[in-house]
Amino acid sequence: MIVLVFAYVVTSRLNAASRFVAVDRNQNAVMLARAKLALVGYVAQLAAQAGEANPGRLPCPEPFGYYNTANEGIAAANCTLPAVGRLPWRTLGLDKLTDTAGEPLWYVVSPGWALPNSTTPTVINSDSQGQLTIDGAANDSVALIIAPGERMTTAACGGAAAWAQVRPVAGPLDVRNYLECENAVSASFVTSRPGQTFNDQAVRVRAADLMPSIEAAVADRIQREIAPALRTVYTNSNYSGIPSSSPLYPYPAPFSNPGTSSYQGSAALCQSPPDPSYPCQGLLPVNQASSMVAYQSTPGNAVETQGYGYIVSQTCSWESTNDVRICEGVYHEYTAEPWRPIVLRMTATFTNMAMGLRALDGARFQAYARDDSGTPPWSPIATNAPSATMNSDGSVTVRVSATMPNIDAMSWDTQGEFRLRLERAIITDHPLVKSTDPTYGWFTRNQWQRVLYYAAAQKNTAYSLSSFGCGSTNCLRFNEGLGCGSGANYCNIRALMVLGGASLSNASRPNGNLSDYLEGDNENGGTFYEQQRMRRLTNVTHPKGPWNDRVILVDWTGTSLLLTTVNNHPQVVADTSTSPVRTYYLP
Amino acid sequence: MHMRDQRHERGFTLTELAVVFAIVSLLLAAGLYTLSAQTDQRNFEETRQRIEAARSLLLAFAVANGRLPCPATSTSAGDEAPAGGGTCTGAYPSGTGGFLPARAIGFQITDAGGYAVDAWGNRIRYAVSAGALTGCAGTSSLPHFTSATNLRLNGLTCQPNDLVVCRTATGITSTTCGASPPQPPLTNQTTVVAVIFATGKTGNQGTGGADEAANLNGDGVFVWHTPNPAGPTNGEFDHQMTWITAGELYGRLVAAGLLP
Repeated sequence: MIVLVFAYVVTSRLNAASRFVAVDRNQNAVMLARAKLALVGYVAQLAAQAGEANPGRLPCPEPFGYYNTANEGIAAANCTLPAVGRLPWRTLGLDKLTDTAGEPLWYVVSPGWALPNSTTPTVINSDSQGQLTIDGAANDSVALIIAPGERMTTAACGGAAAWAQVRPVAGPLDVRNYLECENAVSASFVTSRPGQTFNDQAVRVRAADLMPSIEAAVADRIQREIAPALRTVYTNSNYSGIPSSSPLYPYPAPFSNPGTSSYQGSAALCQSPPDPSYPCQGLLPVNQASSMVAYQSTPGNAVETQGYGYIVSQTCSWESTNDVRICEGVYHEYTAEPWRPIVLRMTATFTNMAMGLRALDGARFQAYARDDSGTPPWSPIATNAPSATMNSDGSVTVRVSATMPNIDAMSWDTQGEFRLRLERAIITDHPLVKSTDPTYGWFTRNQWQRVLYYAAAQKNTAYSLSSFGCGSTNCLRFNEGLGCGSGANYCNIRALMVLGGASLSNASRPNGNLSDYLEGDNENGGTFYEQQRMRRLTNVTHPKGPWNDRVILVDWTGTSLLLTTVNNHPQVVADTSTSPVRTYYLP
Repeated sequence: MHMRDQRHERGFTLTELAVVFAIVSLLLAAGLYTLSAQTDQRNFEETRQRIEAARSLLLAFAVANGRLPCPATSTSAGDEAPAGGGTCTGAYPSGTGGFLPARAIGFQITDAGGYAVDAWGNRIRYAVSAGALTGCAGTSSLPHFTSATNLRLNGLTCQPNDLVVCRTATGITSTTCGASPPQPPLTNQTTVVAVIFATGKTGNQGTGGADEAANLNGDGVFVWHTPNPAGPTNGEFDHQMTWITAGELYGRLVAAGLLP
């Protein structure tokens, strides 16, 4: 009888204990899931902020020294990665979430996903993977959120020495008092472990968990920041030869493996017929001007443009490398009216202008003058703003000039010496492709061009300068089914971009397979593009399959794209041609 | 006839009875006290579960409607006011408004008036961010969080700037936890889009201290800490609170394809 009673008591206690473990684990799982959702949303919101130079980055953990201080719950500005610490609940906006042991949650963040110091930026795009080693699998996760559980005494395990955990009320924290085994050593991490010396409960945050939100935020920023800038790279206001009716768009680079592409725009893509067969679409040409732009031919000598005074003699030469053209000589005043200004000009044509995103750097033309008697030192002279003309072969003709010092005013008798110096670097990179640019640098520094497809209407490229500007029959088309047949809406796109997003087939990236980047009609090389609702299909089928393309409309004819509703859901919204268009992904 | 022994037939003396009653009442009191404490504990847990359920339902409402609901008022029969969202009649809890809109979100446990209640039968409160936004990259039309159209047009860069949860009412203003609060705020100023709380066992009876009063004074500054009996600074406090962060809301809306 006594034995029976004893056995009953023992088994009932065991049952109760295991029941409580299950209840505890469920309750912890709820807290961990809540923390994960808040983290993912926080990352997206942070990435979407204009001025955030590292979109997609995660907050650092709370520093150990913040424990039990007024700064508790606040993330460190930067941290040595992988970083382990308490979840920065206040930064995320959460309550101080605790596990069933009453312990605040812990948090591990992967190398490459948070700021390691105040100067090193992150590089995060759709192809980025977490670099945490979890349960022996390398590059498994971006972050780990851990419920540390009750304190315990552990034997040596997973590289950690035996340890009797204590939970002191004063900081700084010691990770060994909260996490066990591998997690306490902080090199590789585990979510479960056999044996009695481990009671951490963890949830992974993988790149695939974060990427849909990050891509949504980045697509929004490309729409707000990159697209408007693309509209102003080549316009009538800075390049004559481009009609005032619309901007000119650079030639796309042929699509090839984005990891090895030169990102050099190709005029052949926008010929009729195009070569290769996909017309005027591919990668955004974010190459550097220094690698592509050259003098098309030897620039002519300097000339006087105002008709007052003249050049007596000059010699033009190349300086060191052929990148700088120098003309030196003697100029003479206008004898009849010596007060008249004398303007000297140089003209040069540069190749491959429209094959990239370029700008003019007027400081790369310098002018000097001095008296022609003796050899006094050269005096620098202010130069006039350069003017440029876009040519149909994609080259640009640049005219630079300087108003020379008045001979009389300088008391130089009747003539002086001039020296004009024109550098190839007058064709420079547009801020859009400068990774150091404070406004746009985030885009190329994080290599978002690797997952961005770009298309321009052939009629809006340099190839068509003689009959410029697309119309209702030859613009790009977008979501045509929404009214293109009956009117001009959405048949009027001059340029657009498609953020391809992460691989839906988990293929190894980067690769040269366009269908691994784009979906549906976006990948067929036509001039019709479509936006469908984001979906990852698991057990249902859809004629278009899973979808994570995000179309970014850059420019269109007319003054506005109207709000159109399909089944009462707005599809495209724009107020005026100057404000960004945003596309919505609704059923 | 044999006389019965009077001594053996005597009953309990008064003293004995008094002792017995004293012991019984002591035992009873102890039992009842434990019972009442257990009931309180159970109600506390139950209320915690209800406000967490309300939290989930609010996020589900946001995914279905592209916005958060407005709070109910004392005359809206448990529905959001105005119906259909937009500029809320009363965004922050006060004597007449700021109730959880049980009908709008499908909260099941309600009183006769249709309002969601906690385990003590007191109406659950709800506040939603309605004030000026911060951080907006584009437009910032108000209301943001309770208008599906504005939420989409303004986008996910807009952060709430009016709701904040403090640890104490000491030093708070109508918009912040104060310039130098005695304890750091529980939330940063730009993180909270909605607050849900139950007024606890004592309910909305005006018996609470300054900390409780701060939650019902019609502004966006709230106080939450572990329960206090009457006595410590700012008096009795038994509100139970949870909140929704901008990250949680935007994360859900982005995942649902509603943003950006």
